[in-house]
Amino acid sequence: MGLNHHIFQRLLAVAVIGLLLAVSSPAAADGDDETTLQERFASKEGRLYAQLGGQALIRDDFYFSPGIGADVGYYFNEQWGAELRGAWYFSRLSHTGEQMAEDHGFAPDMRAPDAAVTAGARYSWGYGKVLATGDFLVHFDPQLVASAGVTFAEERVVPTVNTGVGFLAHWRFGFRTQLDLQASVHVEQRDRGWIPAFGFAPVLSVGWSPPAGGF
Amino acid sequence: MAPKLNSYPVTSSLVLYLLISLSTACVSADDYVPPRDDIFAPLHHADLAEFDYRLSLDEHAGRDDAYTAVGRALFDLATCRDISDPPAVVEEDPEALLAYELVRLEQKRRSRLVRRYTETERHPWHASTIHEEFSSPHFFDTEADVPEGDLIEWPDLGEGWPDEWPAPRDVSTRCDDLIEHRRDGPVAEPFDDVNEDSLAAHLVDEWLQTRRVDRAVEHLDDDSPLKPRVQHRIGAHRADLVIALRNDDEAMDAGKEAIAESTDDVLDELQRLGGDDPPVDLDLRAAWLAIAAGDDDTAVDALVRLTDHPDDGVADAARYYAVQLAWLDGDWETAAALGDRMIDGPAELRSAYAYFAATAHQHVGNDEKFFGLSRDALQGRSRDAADPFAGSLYRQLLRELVRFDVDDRTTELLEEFGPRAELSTRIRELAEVAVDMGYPDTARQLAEPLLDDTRDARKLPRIRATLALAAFLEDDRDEFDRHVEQLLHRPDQLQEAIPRERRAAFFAHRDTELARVLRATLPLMAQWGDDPGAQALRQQWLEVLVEQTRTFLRTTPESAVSEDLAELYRLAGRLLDDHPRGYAERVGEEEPSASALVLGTVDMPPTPPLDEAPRPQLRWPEIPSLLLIPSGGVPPDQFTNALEPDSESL
Amino acid sequence: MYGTVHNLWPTAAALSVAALFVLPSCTFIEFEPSPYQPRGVDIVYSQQEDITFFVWRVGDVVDFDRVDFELLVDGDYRPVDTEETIFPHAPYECDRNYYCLQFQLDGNRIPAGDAPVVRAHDDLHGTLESPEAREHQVETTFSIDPLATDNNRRATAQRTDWFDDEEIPLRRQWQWGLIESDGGECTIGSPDGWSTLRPRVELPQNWINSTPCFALRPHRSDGGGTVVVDRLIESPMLFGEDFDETIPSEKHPVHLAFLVNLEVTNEARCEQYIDSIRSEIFDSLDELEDHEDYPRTAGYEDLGIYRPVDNTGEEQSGCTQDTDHVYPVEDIITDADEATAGSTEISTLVVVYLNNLDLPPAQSNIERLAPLFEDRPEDADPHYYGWAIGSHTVLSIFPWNETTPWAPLEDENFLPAIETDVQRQFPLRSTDFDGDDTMTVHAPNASDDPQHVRLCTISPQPQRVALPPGEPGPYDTDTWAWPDDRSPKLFFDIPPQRFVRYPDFNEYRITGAYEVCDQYCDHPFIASDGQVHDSWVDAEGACRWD
Repeated sequence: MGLNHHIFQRLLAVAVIGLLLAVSSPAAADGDDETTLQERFASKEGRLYAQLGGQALIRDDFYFSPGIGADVGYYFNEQWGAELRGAWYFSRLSHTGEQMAEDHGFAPDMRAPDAAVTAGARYSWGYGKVLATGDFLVHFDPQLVASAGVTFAEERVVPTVNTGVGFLAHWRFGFRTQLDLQASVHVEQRDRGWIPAFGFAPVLSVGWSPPAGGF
Repeated sequence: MAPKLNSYPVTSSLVLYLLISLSTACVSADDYVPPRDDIFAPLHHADLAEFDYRLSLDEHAGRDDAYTAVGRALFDLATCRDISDPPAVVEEDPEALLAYELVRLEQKRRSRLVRRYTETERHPWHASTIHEEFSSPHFFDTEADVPEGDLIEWPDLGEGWPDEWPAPRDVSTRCDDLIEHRRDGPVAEPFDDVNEDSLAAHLVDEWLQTRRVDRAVEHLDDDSPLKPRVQHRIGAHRADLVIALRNDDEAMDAGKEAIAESTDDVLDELQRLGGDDPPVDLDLRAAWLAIAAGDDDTAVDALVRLTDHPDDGVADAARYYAVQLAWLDGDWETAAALGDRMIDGPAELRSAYAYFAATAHQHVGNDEKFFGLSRDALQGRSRDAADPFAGSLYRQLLRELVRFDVDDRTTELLEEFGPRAELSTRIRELAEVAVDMGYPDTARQLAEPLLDDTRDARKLPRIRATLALAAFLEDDRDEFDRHVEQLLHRPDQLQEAIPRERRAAFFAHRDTELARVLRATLPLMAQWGDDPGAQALRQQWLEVLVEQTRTFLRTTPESAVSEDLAELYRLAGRLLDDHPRGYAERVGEEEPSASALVLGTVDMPPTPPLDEAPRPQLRWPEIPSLLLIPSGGVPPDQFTNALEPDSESL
Repeated sequence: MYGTVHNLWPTAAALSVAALFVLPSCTFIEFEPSPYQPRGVDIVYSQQEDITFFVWRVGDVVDFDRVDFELLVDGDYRPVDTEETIFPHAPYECDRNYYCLQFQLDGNRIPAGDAPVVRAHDDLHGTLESPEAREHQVETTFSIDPLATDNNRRATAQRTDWFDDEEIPLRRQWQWGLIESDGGECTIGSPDGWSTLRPRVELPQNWINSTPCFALRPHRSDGGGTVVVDRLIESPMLFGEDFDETIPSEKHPVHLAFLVNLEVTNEARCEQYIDSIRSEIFDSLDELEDHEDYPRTAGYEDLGIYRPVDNTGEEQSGCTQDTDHVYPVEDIITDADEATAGSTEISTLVVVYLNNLDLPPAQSNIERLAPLFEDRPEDADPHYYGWAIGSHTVLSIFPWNETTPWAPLEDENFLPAIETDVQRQFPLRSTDFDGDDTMTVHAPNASDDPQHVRLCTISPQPQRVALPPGEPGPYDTDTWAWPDDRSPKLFFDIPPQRFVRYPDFNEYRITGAYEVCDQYCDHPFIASDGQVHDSWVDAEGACRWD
């Protein structure tokens, strides 16, 4: 079945990523440890932010579920932040799903997601920068993200947990972009009972964070 | 594109994402420009890590000028690292060069002090020097402080990003194993034969470094306030080095002449630097060097000035040397004038000083000062064989006293010349000196009361012996017999009570005294001459002596001194004209030895061994700091000798 | 603190990212019939109404805002709005886990062929077609059998509905009205006005005089509708009554006489026993109104302490026993008679006999006590009652009404045992019949002219019934014609209780309900259980009243 093919593709991707991670891990510190310092390009501590962006909920559920989202958050320090996120999905059946519906009157026993509200935490576990064309720098925070909330799927309210990695890039004047690659867990009460569903939920947002303490 | 990730995944998504970011966020990489303020301030606050951080910031920014180099040299000094020759940029700035060379000098001094410590193990090796702080592993704050601000710390990835700067790092000091450091390399002429790592080698190195400092000083403007400041210290320090060289056998062996020459040079330098009113620290060194160089006049001049030194130890030592130098020159007046009061210090030093000063007063006829100083030196002190000057002074004193009639004052005086409990001993000794010097009447007057006062039976024989000798001098044979018989008398009940084998030991005191009497009288009789009167008298006394001795030898064959007495008996018998010698006494007798002639009256002059006179140190501390530590920015607006804020305490 | 990096993070991140890519495979999807697909389609053509009814179902999770339905009409699929039809009704939950939808068209519109009759279309699923429909052609889909209820104040249509019978869901409103008639056959016509039909509708006053017909029609959105009519039948005029009567009882006052014959040589301790027991009994009697299960009051009187007398007639202490000592039983009886004389109530003489010696008393004294246990007439006053507190021997020599084993005063159970005994005895009670055990059935106030009476419920069952002027006869039917001049009377058989301990007394109640019929007693009526009976008077055991 096509499903297995997908799994192989993904396992390959995992292997490649793992290799990249291993290669890019920092070498053990030498004896003469010449660490360096730099000013944090954009601080997060004590700052609010708001973002808008696009997202998707990718699952083997025979639905296409692209969406838009908005979130507001606050960082308690440079590592830890809290976030409230709302998402609206524009779901429709996939081609296979439509065929099943039209030919047999069958539909997946999962409902198509309509919206979601989650609250979660973000943890910046590092700081990175990339030099491009010798002139420009991108400052970014690699992050771990976890959130929980509910997804509204047609008539159902589905407990939802998302967790994954995030990449927060800082622009000038408090503007920012953020990419979250999260695994989603939805535990949905279907006719058979409570069944989990796992998925992949990427979110790309652009936002702004006013300076700490206001203007 | 050069990714620098703090550890971190590069996924295809990220690349895509970064491309998106790049397309809109034109954030440029700006060079980091560190602040330029007083880079020496952290050093003055003993924050070595911060000091290192400031230096490294300048070095990172390429602003490592002369004072950065000076700062780095000071850092190296504080962490006991090697310090290189001054870089070119330092050579161009006279003040910086001076500060730099002084750091090197300080480093060499420390090296030498440590080297000296390995020989003497005298703690602390860095006493009174700046190294109490500079070379202490615990004085400085060596832990890097976290810089303020919202900062990222990057690990060492071997990349040089312009917007980064070195992080503060913990300073590792190498001062813990200073002792392990070894000097290696050649030593300058003429000391090239000395051991590479000897103290001498260190001293020579240090000496040469003072010359480099001299050259740096020469580059200063004439009106630079640093000039006199440094010259004074360097002059004094150089004197210390010469003194140390002179005290070093290896150095003296290798370059005695060079050292002597240097001694003169330094002495000249000190006098030049000191001018009309030389400061104490220069005077101290000048005096010492002058003594060493045999320049007594210069030495005395300096020493006289030093008698006002606030440090009593220094002042007293200076007075002692001054008096001694005058005494040795026979300049009694000067010696008496300088030695007009007692000094403090070890007993030996006081004895020696009192000897020189008191005898100087004796020479100029000032009995009161003589007795006073003697009293100061001897009062309450027991006699000590290791203190020849005290002994000499005491004997001088007894000889002087014997000239006076015996009265209450005699006893009072004697009371002050030693422990009160030993007064009877001193009276007895005075009596013996009186006998020696031919004042039997005085001796008798002194000794007779002792017979009644002395409770200790073991001391009586000696007094009786003295009285016997006095009687002998006064030609009173009855009295002599009486005392000798008392001396030889062994009560029957005592004899019975004491086992035979212990009798010799028990009666040894009196037997020894008898031997002493014989030993003293025979030479005296030999001096009487050969005129008939004298011969007759001698025969009479010899008969008495021989009779007494023979009786003793017969009755007490077990005496400890039988052998001595037998010898004396034979000697006396030979002198006796009609000596009735029995056969047995002749058989096996060797020819009379010449020893009889040697036994004259030994009138030992009371002069002590001058070579063994104490040589107290004219103590002075090491120059605390040879450094000029900049402060107040770059260029510095002032230089301090030590670390603020408590530099005065150094 | 500024950023530090732990070497564990890359591994953690790798695992996280790996999870992101693997997890989407796991959704455990199973396909199920789409809730949006129309199913259970019924098409009904009613000749009576000339309407074709379309009924279909969808899943109960359907969001009707996002779905549209189409019907196959005349070979074409036409979008339909269930709110715009003959009998509009919003989708409603029906069967189980379904919504039902309905749509009607005039005329016979049952489609020919096998094409799906209903289609659903929504943005998420696309178009979903219904499976094959069930088709019905029906002559009559509803009829009525109207009946008045509630003493002719209200009426019920008694509608029969084909859809209900076939369990085909259809929801529509009905309207009713009255059409005057001459008492003959009802003809279809229009009433003065149509009202919404409810299970019971209020009738106008005096409607009986016009012998009307009851008209019913379905409420079409366009106002029309097929009308059916039928005669409205009058209901019996019924009036109910409940009754609940308790058989009364009386409490007997207590007269306490303490007969002391102890063997306690220490007189002070002996008196302590007597005082303690008396105090305990009196206190317990006083505290009966605080009793947990049976709060009550007990009137009592203390006749005093009776001690044996010797053969000279002198009263003894009662603390030592002697064969010559004689119990003053006559004095007790005499004192009790005096105390109870003149009272209308029957009292209880309670002789509390105290004897701790484990020996029978002297034979003479046994004989003296015997009168207390002799049979006496039921109404003898006072009633004798013996309570022995003493040794086991003493307790067994007479049939005491109550016994309490002796124990030392210090025994923590002794005095409480006496208290418990008081609580479970006094006062004694007896049934107090006021006349005989009968009950008269009175006509309810609302009833003007009772014709029949029926006992709906009654407990206990009467033994006989009297319908004056006839003699009482056995109770074998529950419905009687109402007697002409007096009310019927019921006779019960309730056993009397005499001198029963208070908690043991059974309280008797006579409860029940009856109804009286004034008019139309042979007309149909709807009983309390909802069942329709053709004639009230013939329907034994069925009442309109509970």
